[in-house]
Amino acid sequence: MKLNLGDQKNACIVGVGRSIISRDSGKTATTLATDACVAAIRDAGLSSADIDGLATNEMGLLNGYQLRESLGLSNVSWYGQMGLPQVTATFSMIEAAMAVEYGASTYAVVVMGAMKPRGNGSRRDPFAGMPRPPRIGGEGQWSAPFGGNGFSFVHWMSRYMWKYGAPRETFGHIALTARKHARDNERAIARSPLTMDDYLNARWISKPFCLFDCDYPVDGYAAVVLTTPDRARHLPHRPVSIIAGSQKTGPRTETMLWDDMSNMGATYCSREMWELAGGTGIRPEDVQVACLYDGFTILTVNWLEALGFISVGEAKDVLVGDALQLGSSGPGPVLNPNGGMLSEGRVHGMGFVAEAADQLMGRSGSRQVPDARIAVVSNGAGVQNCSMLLKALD
Amino acid sequence: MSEYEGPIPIPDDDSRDFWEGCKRHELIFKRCDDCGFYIHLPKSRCPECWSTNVGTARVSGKGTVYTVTIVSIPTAPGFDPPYNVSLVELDEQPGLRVMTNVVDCPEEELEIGLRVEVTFRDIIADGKLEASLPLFRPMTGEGG
Repeated sequence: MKLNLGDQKNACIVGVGRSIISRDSGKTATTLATDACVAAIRDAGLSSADIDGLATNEMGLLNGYQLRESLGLSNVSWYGQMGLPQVTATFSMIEAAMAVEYGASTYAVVVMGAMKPRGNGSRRDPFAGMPRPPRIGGEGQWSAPFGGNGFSFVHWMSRYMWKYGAPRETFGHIALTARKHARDNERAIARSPLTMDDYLNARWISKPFCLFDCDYPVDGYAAVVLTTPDRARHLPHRPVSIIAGSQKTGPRTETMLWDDMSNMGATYCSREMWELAGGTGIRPEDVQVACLYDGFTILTVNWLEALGFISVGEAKDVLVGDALQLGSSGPGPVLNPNGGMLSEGRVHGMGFVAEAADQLMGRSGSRQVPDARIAVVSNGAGVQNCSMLLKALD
Repeated sequence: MSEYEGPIPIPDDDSRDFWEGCKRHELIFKRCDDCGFYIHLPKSRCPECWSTNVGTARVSGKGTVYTVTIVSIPTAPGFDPPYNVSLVELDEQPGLRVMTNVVDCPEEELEIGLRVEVTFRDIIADGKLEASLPLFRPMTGEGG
């Protein structure tokens, strides 16, 4: 967890950068991550010599040493190289924020993203290259012999729909909202209109997941630069203060044995984040921008309820019409104004960090959320969950 | 039932009792001899009371479908979609769940809450029993 230290001490985001987002970039992860870092450092008005902290994440296929070489950084004194169980972009953000607040780094770059799966280990052929029949030990011995696959969160959706009587349209609303917002995002990979009929008639992936419940695999990386508030005030953009962050793993680390699979780790993580933010007086109704993980639509529904934007189990009544969409007159934050991973593409959580920062800096153009001052970013699901609260400094 | 061509489990020191039990068509879990907690996935120390007095216990094989998905795209060798992947919660303890396939059940009748009982599928290669997989089928008669 990252504690709220107050506006004078909380680390701030001061620069944002992204690589191209594409279905097949023809580039390596290191190249794309380097592009994102260079863009973020330049955006902050800084140069290579200023950067002394670098946080990356194994799930982003990145290695801190390779990135340092690629960026030509000669002054790095703090690395955050996250692996299990800290695989979310937001976790890297929290670690880097604490490094800045403690003084371990003056200007830190955080970079994360994803490459579209190719060949071995992809969902379609997880055992490619192994002798047939494959023999599986470790955790896989409990799922592979039954055809279990990477879509474990579908079980959570089944359970949620059963417990709360939620129709498919509830999840369709998440997909439609993402696509509607992506129309104003020139980087987004999927911008063509999507209707509820399209959603309801889409092919099944793993029922109740249809095609549009699943995020869009792309090659894409995003990066931000963090520093202290006193340094941030001398840089070009409105500083975005990282108030608090939480990663709380909940009662089990074995997803299939979760105590209540109609909900997830978001419950525990969100509760802690709001507790840490208690001193600020900020409440869910004060949030204008919600960048909530949408690897699968069920996860966004879980986050909305866990964070207090919707009462638990009531998403089916709330997620109708233009709810949570840009321009809506209804209550609640604008959800995933960049189109999320469902439509902008799976930049694996870091796309949400970049979008929230841009929104709070007030430079999101035609998809700018009016008077955006407070944002929540959440990443992951189950045991790998993380959320943080952001605020635009005056 | 067609020949099984899917993945075969490799038992380890924690899971050997489970898979050996399956070969005898018995569903066996690790269980704490001190507090009675069923330990699955199997571990050698009880996570509830930290006792190392961990033994095994055979369960009834009766349970309830906790969740289910119908997989519609090919994601595993030996499994032709559509097929179901289900989590079954055993009667002996809340949260004691196994991933499995429900067999002998039409898709429209396969739903959360369905009462099921274990049945075993032998995997035989070169005349040798390689493993036996615990599958579940709708319960018949008492307890259904």
